Amino acid sequence: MSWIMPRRSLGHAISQLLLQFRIVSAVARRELQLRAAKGLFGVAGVFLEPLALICTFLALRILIRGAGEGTYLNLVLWLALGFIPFFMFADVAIKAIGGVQKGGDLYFYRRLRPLDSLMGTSLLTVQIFGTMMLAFVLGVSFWEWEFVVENPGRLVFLYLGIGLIGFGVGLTTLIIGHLLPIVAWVIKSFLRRILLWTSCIFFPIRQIPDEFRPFILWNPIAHGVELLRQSCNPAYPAPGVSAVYFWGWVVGSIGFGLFIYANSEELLFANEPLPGLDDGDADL
Amino acid sequence: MTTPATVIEVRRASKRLPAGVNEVKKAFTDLSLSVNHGHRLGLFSVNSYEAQTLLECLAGVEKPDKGEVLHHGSVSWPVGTNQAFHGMLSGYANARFAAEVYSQPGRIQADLQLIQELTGADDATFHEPIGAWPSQMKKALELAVSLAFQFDVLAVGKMNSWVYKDIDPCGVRIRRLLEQRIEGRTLVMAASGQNKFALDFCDEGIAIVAGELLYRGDPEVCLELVKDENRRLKYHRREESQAEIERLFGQGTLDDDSSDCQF
Repeated sequence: MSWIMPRRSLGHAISQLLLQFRIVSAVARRELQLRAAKGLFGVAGVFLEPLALICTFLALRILIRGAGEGTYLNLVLWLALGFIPFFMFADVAIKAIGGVQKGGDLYFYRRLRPLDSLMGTSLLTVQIFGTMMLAFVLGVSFWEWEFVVENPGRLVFLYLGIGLIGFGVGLTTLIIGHLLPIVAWVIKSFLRRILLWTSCIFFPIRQIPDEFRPFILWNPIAHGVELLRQSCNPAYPAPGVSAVYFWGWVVGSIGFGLFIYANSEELLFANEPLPGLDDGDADL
Repeated sequence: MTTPATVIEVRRASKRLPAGVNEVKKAFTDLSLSVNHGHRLGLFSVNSYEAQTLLECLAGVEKPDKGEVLHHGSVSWPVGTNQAFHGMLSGYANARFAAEVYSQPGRIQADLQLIQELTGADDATFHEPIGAWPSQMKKALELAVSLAFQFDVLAVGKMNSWVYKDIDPCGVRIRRLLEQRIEGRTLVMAASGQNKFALDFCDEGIAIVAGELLYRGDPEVCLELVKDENRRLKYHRREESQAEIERLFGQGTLDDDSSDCQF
């Protein structure tokens, strides 16, 4: 009867996996309910707030630089495919960095681990920005009266890949930042400022002079953004952009993040030392 | 899957609590104990915070400062408390979240219905933010959510008296559910402040005095030991106060007016 054991353990693994999905989606739903309860416009506000931010950036970019980038893609779609994945990436990463402190109350339920709450928050962010991306794709498709995405499957996977890089970077920074808070601060500033200008959001990679291009191409988000645009129109030129480099970053960042998380999870639960005593070994 | 003989193991655990500015008090020190499957253990202590803190550490919602607490099975959070509830969310949303985490597959709706019944909230109230609920109903929700799911070990903290005094119909139902939940399982209960309740349910007790495990065995004996210690402390405090009064009178630091009082 030795065949029973593998089947039983496989069943157990599947039920654990389903439980994991259930917990992560419950965290995402709770986060959505909380944001809706705190905002003025309820659930709609949760989607409208980032949409307003992206529309402002779109309007500013069009006003300042005009409709210069419309050769291969509709300008609005071209810009949306830069802003939405980037803001999604930054949001996922930044929320992961500060997520354990924010979701502290949830760990009252011991079945819930910090990774679950981080995944739940990231899932909600990916869903919100994904909905916006869909709205832009459909809006532009209606405007042009043709479906503007040549390879929708690739678009979805690339979008999820950018989200995974954000999660991996956030998870790694969370652990390292717990030991060295300055690291978390530096990475947060870096995500919002430096990456905004080096992720091919405002300029296509082909417009960057050859001598400067390698300084942009270290950034995996630039690869992801240009590949996203290419998935809408395969003729879109993206010199130096590599899918292998991008997916290497996805696997590497998630793998490294999960590896250090698995080895340091208990650190996140460490008690704060009580005041007036030098260390935890003081005579009780 | 068989439940292991030992469900909770405490290895040389110590815990201090903050008490004012730069002050700490001991909850327990260098404590080692194991709780076996099927045991019903009452935690007796002179100060309620000692038993409550030990219970929280056993349940895993608090970490000891030193040592470790190991679980060999699922352990509930202290029944009757819930720090994961959010006042801006409705009773339904809070209960639903707990159900998503702890319900058996396919039982979420049934568990939610049970929680609503035990809480005694109608549909409209159940879907309102709990921040606006009366405190009694909020406590009932905390209890209902704690008892809606099955755990190998049930940790019971300080409960409201209406639960165990058999005067409230909702309380009677909750007490019956509590009995059902611990049938064939393990119970760990903070006895301080609810001694009779603990004696009803527990077949074993531990007495914690001045942060040390003084005795483990008959819960009645534990209660007596704790009462004795309480009396001793009271007597000691009275002696100290008396000595202080005598010292003050002896030095003549009291106002002269106070000695002129006419009765």
